[in-house]
Amino acid sequence: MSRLRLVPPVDSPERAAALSTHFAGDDFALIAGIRRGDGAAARAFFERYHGMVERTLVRILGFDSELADTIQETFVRAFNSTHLLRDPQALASWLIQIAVCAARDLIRKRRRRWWLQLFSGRDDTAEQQDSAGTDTELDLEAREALRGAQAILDGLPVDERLAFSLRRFEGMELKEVALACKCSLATIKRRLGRAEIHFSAEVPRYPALEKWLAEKGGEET
Amino acid sequence: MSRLAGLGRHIAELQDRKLGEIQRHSTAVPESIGEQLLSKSRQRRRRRRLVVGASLAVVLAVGSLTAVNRLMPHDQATVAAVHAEAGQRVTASLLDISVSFEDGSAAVLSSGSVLRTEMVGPASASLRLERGQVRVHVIHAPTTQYAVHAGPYTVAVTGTRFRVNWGPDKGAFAVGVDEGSVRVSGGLLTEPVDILPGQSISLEQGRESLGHAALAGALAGAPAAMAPAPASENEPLAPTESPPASAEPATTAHRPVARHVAATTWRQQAEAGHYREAMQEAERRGFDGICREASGPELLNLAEAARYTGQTGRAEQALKAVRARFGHTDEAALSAYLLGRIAAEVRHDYSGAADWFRSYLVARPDGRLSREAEGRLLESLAFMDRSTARKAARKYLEHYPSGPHAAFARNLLGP
Repeated sequence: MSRLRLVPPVDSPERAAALSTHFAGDDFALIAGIRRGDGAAARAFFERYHGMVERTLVRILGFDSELADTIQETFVRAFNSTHLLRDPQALASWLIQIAVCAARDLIRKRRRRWWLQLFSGRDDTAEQQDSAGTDTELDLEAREALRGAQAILDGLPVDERLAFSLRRFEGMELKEVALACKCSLATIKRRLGRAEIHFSAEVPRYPALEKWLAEKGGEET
Repeated sequence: MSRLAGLGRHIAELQDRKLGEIQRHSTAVPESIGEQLLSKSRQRRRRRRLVVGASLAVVLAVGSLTAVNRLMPHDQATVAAVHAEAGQRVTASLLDISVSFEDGSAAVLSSGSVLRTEMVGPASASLRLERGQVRVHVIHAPTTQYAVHAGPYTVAVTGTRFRVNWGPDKGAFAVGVDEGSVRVSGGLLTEPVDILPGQSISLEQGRESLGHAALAGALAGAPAAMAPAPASENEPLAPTESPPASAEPATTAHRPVARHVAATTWRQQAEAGHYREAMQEAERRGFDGICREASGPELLNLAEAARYTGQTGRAEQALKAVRARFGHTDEAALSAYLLGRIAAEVRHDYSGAADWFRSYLVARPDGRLSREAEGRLLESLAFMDRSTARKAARKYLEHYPSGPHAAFARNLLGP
């Protein structure tokens, strides 16, 4: 997962030529194009927002083995629900809502399977941790700390995990988090409060993370 | 909580650094990505309309068509590629995903498939197809050694181009070779069988369809007959989720697929994540009766379904039935562990939880979950009696000085 990349397709020259017309236009034109089934508009939409969706999902899921799939899932859901988008100016926040929803579904699906995984010796949580563990670009302490953070997030109820990841990792404002999670500001505050208490209580179990909290946490004013 | 903000920002910086690395190694977005995503979107809309508007029979038909379609070879472009590393689990839900290896070999995972990379070496790999289809191209070299495992089957390769299908629900397995040769073993085969270019083999619990006469002798059980091999790569292997059309009664070796048809149904529903339906059917059939009759693994599935529909009492009942009926098995030990987790996490009965975790540790002192059970025992004891918890902490640190609960144990012991 650590070296996920997009690769060129092996298409027929005719098809490639037919698709090579690049789409030009603002978000409003983009959405109109997608509603018409215009492949160039869909591609432009993917190119324009792929990075934002990927970053949001990484904040929630980490470098997960199903990250690529969840990105694709987000775009397919988005293309299926463009009729629900009333204001194209709100396109980015609408897309983040869909990405958050796709991440939530993935986490819930995994949790539903956890007993079977225990029985069969599989553990998706371990996979996520392994993906941090095999990353050669980060030093040992960073890997340990990331693994610890991921383990704590895995132990949180999904809605609290979403609130915490978006607020503390992505740095969203509370109102933005509430919008992304489709709930009220008060609900987000409650969820975030519970998540922070849990996270802080769990940090001492992971020495590298505890050290980071002491060092990096102190940088906050 | 401002310290958490600083920590979160630092974690985000590291994630961004890694994302930047990934993007630096990326090539251009494929021209057809928009078309492919739109096409998937249209398929999903069509399926949704059918499901909403059709009768149950139509829905079932669509489901089986979808299952067959998922297992057919795709010639569409792959959208994402993953560089193989050991221990990965690659899932291709929507579009094909290509897994590439150091020696130039590649495995293209069809949409709807899951592949695990168990071992990856310079010219070798051990892959496990959990479900669906993988098309593999192995570059031949003197030291090349690749193996694809699918359920009980193993396909050993030194250099070739072939496809493997695996449908775990029915134990349906198929291999088709386009170049080179592969050696298939395990499962219904009593001895290894070589498959040559143009040949294929498809095996399913309860029926076998063979593309090679020499295979007949290698089959465990009833005699089997010939079946034509697919003519080309784009022609599907015998559909692994539905009986092959060529399967005559004479070619069918009847094997025990399941002892209780109804039990298999709720089990399948549970495995598919349809917990409410699984529980409804189990209740209709008689939950108490199932607890008396079902096998250990079936009861574990039932317990899972119960838990996820919020029926903790039923989950405990199923797990206790496993304990009572299969006293010394792995399932019984696992049930003790799971009962401990329910007691701690749902009931907040830490004394009961400690007893269950101890039961697991007595039954499986060196079991797969021993470290976790000992850690959770420690957590439960910490809620009750600090002095007992400290003793358990010392024991935990003796056994697992760098285990996941080691820091917690050290905290309990103090400076």
